[in-house]
Amino acid sequence: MFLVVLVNIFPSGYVFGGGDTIQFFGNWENLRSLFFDWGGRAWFFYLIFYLLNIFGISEAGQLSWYLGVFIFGSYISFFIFSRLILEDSPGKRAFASLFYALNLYTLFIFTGNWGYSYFPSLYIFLPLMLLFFIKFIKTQKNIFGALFVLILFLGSSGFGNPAFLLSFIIFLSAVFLGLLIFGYFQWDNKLAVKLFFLAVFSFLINSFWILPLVPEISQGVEKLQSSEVVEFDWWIRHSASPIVKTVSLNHFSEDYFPYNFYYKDFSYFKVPFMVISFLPMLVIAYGLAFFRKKMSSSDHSLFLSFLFVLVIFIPLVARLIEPFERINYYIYHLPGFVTLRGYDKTAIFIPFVLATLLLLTINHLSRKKAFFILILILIIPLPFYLGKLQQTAGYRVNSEKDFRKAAMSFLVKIPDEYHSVRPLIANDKDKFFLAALPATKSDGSGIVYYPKWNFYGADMSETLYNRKQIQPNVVYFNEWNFAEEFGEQQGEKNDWLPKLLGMMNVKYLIYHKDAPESSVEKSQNKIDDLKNKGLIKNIENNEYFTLYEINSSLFFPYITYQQENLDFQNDSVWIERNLEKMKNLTASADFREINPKKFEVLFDNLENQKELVLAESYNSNWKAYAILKNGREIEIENHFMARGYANGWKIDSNPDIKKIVIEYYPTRLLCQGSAVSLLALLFLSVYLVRYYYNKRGKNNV
Amino acid sequence: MFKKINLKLKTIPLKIYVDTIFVAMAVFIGAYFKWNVVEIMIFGVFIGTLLRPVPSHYPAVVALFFLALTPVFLAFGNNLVPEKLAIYAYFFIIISVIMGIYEIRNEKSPS
Repeated sequence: MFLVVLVNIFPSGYVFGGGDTIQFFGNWENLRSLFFDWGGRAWFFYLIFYLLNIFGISEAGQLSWYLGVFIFGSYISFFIFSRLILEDSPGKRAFASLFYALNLYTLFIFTGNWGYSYFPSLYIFLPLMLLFFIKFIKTQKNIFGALFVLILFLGSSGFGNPAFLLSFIIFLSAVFLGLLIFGYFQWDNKLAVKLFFLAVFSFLINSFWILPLVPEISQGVEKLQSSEVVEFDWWIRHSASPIVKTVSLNHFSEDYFPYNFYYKDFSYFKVPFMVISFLPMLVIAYGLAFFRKKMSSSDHSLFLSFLFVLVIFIPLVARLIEPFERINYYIYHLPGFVTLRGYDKTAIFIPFVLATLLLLTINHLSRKKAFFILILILIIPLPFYLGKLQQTAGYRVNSEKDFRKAAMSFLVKIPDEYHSVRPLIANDKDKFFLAALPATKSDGSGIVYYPKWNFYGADMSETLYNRKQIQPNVVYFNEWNFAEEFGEQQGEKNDWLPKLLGMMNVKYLIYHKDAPESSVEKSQNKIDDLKNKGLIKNIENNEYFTLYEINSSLFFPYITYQQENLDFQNDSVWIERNLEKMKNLTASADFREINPKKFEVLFDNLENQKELVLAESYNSNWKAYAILKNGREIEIENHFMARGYANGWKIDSNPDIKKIVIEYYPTRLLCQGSAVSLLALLFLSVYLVRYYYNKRGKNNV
Repeated sequence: MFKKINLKLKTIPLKIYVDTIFVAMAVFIGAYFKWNVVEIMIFGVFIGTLLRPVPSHYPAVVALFFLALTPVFLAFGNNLVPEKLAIYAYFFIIISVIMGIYEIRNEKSPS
């Protein structure tokens, strides 16, 4: 395993970026923003990167570190779990644990981009969670319940995408049901009560991220449910994984090894690797057919239970494909299941089930046979051992042997020019947004394309400069992408753009000359024209981008009062004509930032303070509270969409109002949830310490 | 001769008639949904094993057979057949799991 990490060391000076996943730049400001923006989710995960940063580990070093932690962590976690099954054969346990750490699924996540995201951390903690859960229901000892809750807390970053919580609950329920059906434990009322308390305690310790999630989930699911049904159906059909792929741990898309054989000079090895990828499942089926009498009754129950789980999860991973098309159509249209549309949400559990079944089977093979089979099984994810995964084997670079020559890669070197303007933007004391232009090729998720340095993914500027961004490929106004219109618009009437950006609290604009030529050609002259008119000011110019400052007369502060809300039209001519009027109706508000999602605004009952506007995209979870002179807090109910995209509140004239607090409601729940989690963690720690000393005392006696 | 057949039929227990009817219904259902012959047979076997359980390793052997054939066809560059074979293997694993339930329940229940 150490060698695997060593041969896959990341090249120095490069960071990971592509698709939805970008590397975290571990400074304190980013960590703080992330904590509030993501409602505490995945914070643990990124805290470690922050600490690595403090210790001076480079960004490339941090990636290698994560690969190591993932491989070693998965190995250790499964090794401990496997003691449940096999007490006395550390050799076979080690092999099965290696299979869990290094297989085609883990290869898929590390040759793609997901491996460097937070959610695969669930993979590391999964065996430990299962171990303590199974021990708890089998023995009904509280200590196992306590350890389960502790691991659930430590591994909570894996649920940073809440869909994984839903799939984990389904998985745990399937394991529970399997073990119950196959008589691995006895059901009684006492266990029911204990399970209830386990669920309650699991919730309490994870309140810090679950509570803020509740309003966001209800809104998110609503959005997903209301999204085009055709699009969703297309998605679950598009990401369907046939049984033949699932049981061999191959990715459905054939973009990954061995179907996509990265080593073109040795392509005759492709078929042998495709064939041996079936070996784990074949061994399991062999065990099912011939080892019934060799297995103890407890092992047999466990074997059938996990086979039962596999039988349930194969259709869930399969989605809309034969023979599950009809049944899955209904299952995936159940409330909440829409969130499980991504392949990983269910596929992440398959390696664990296969590794467990494999271990139960090889336990009954002779040492010689087991050794031979396991060596073959461990060879399957070959690129892990050949090294330079992302440099040569990532699915984006496989057409070339060198990531630097490939058209696209997940390894990118951010040009020094981007770093050089960091102090200017990051140290500016004002509260503002950073905008980027021009609109580029995107898959609809808002990601950007800068071919000059082979980058195609989520824009890194937000974390690089620790400033929120108005992105060129994101739709902020109802069905209107202003950046696209700016590119496509003919003629010279382009003054509306800086006016619009100013209205959106944008102070700086990065114009990307590293974007595709066609995008630059469409907009470069217009940008030059705006500069000549003095609407934007050139601050930095280099071969990758030009940084402009929006004319200060156009800039709307982050929080403002306005006398009335003009009926905003998604139309450049309307903006051109009305922005000045809108500016005249607006006055800056004095405010204090308590945290990135909470602001205290001074209120003087003046004539121009009829409406309060926050320059954040409209979201019903943003709330405004009037704080009265007697300290009472009243929610301002009249929340509306201001300026076509932002949050606005109508304030009733009330002489008792002292100030107004604007808060993102989930953040309030985050604070309350954190307090609950801390209390639960304290209680758990006291219990575990007491248990440890009691046990040590008994042993000494 | 008819008498002989009639006498023999009378000696067959009623349960066999009922089971046969169920299996025949399964075959008809398969035909109604326009499944192929193998799928109809698997469904018939499935219903048959529910009515008359067999040791769990019997269907497991069949699953192993289909599963072992899967990579063989894959090696010959055929994508459609391996997918079908894996589906058949999956069906027999389901039957095996269900038979496992019977076995474990029988082991636990006092005879």
